[in-house]
Parts: sequence; C-alpha cells; structure tokens
Amino acid sequence: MTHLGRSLALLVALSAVAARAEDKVGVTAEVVLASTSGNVIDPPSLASMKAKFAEKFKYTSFKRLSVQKVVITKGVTELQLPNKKVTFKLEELKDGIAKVKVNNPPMETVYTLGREGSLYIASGQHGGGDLWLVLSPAEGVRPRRLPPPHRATSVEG
Amino acid sequence: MSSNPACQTFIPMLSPFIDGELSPAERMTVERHLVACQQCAMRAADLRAESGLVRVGMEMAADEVDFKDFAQKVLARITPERPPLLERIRLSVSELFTYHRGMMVTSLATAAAVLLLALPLIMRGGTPAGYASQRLEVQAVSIDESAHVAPVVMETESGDTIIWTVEHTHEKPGVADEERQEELDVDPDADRTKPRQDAPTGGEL
Repeated sequence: MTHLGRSLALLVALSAVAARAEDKVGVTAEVVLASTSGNVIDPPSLASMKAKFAEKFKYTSFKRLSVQKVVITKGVTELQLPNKKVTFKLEELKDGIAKVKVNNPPMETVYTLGREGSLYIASGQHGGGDLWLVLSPAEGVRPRRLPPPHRATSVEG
Repeated sequence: MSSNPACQTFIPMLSPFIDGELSPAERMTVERHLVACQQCAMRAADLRAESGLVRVGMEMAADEVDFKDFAQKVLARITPERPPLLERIRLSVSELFTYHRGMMVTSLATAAAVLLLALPLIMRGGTPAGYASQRLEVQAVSIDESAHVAPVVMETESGDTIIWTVEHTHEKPGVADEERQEELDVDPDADRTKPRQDAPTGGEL
C-alpha cells in the first residue's frame, strides 16, 4: 500500500471512530440556593425561576452557587453539590434521543433530554435554604425564539 | 541633364540621402558634393519637397480611412473558432492531469480527507445527539425505600419540570403503606400543569 493509501485508510478509521464516539451528551447543571430569607436574585436571570416556583413555593431569594457543563456518558459522571454528590448516567441514546438517569439521593430520576425546558430537582437543605439542581440543555442546543403564531382573520361579507 | 560627370555617381545616392538611408561615410561624401554642385543641391531640394508632398498626401489619405474596430476585425481573422464549453473543460482537465499530475493528486487527496472528517459533523447537524425531542420528559422518579419521603412531579406550561419530595406524613390519610407509591411512572396523558393527585401536594419545603 502506498503512503497515500495508508493515509487515506487512517483518515477513514479516524472518521469512523469520531462518528462512533458521540455516545455522550452535555447538559448545563446549575446549583441554586433558594431560601425565604432576604430578597436576593443573583444572577437576575434567576427571576424566571422565581416566577415558576411562585405557584408552589414561598422562596424570596435565589442565589446561583455554581454552573457548569456536565458531559454524560455510559459511565457514571459525578457532580459535587455542597451537601452531597449527584451522579449522572446515559441510560440510552436511541434515534437521537438521550435518556439520562440522575441519582440525587434519596431520589433517582430518569428523563429524556429535550431542546426546551429545564429540570429542577430538589437537592436537600444547605445554608439556611434549599438546594436545587437545575438541568438545562447544553449551550447551543436551546432553540431560537419562535415567531408568534399566525392569527386567523375572518373576512365578513 | 548633368554636365558634371561626377553627378552621375551622386544622383542615384540623392534619394537614399534624403531618406537617411546612407552610411555616415557616404552621407559625408554626398554632402561635400552638394556644397560644390549647385545642380545636385537643387535636385536634393526637389526630392525633399517631393518627399514632403508624398508624406502629406499619405497622411491625408490615412485620415480618410475608418480604423474603428480595426483590432477586433484583425483578431477575428487570425483567431480560430472557439471550441464548445465541454471540449474546453475536457482539454483543461487533460492538461492539468498531464502537466500538473502531482499537484492534482495531492489536492484531490486533501479534499477527500477533509470531506471524510467533515462528513460526520455535517451529518450530525446543528443539534447535538441526544436532543432530538422538542421538550424534556421525565420518565420515572423513584425514592430510596429507607427515606420516608415521596416525590412530587410538576410540569409547567413552559415545559419545565420541577421535582421535590415531601414527608410521608403529608400524604392523604387512609392510604396503606403497601399502596404508597415508591416509584412514580409519569403518565404522558396526565395533566402536567398540576401535581399528581395521588402524590402529596407541594408547599414550602
């Protein structure tokens, strides 16, 4: 085999490996401390979380403790929270849909990833408040703002 | 007619002299003769006048000629007919592989390599694998048996899902321990905007 042929074979092998090496997904994991003391929203983007929680909880203060991208694979990926350790595992990746298991003792959640929405998981108490683990689509996955729906107009006469 | 026999030698040289076609030595000889010979000097003057008239006449004749599109007409007569496009392409490719074979093979190999590496990325598209669904969907929530809590799952209209736990004591009275739901499978047809009826209602943690 010539040098050129060997190079091409190597490239084909590398591309095949690259194609197979996609059995991993990324999510953005935020740790938020919510409490009823004070009235702090830090960062201000957590105001949306406050609005969503207003129906069921009486939190007045939301403070982000950390945010990071978590790469979830078939193996166990750990995320250290201030009060415990949370693990992630990619259960299944079928037809482009990933099923992820989140072990957040004593609770275990299995969910499929989506381009919209976030998953808020209560993660125990810490520092006079409650910790919440917020799992959102990884950067670049969130869809752009959709255009407003068309409104039907009736023509009389 | 000339009376001077020397003039017979110089008369044929007068026209080349006027046109500047003589060598320097011949020119000097003719000039010396013209100084000495009045008749040849008059002949030279006549030739100069005649040459000037011819030049002016030629210029006047040239002014009357239209030289518009002259170059195009000349080129059209000397350029052969242009071959068809396919023939020209075939000829160009043939010349490239004949005279630049090494460069062409290297370029094609590089393009193939880039294509092979880029193809998986292109096929993957802008959305990473794992995000084929529009919205996330909770499949199951389970609680460790030793923990005396129960999960509550609430899905908002914006597609978010909130999961928290409540103490067993908050559960509806009269529910037997065996019937307590330790694993909550999410029913896709259920109303996601409200907590499940069999799960304890949430509240301040």
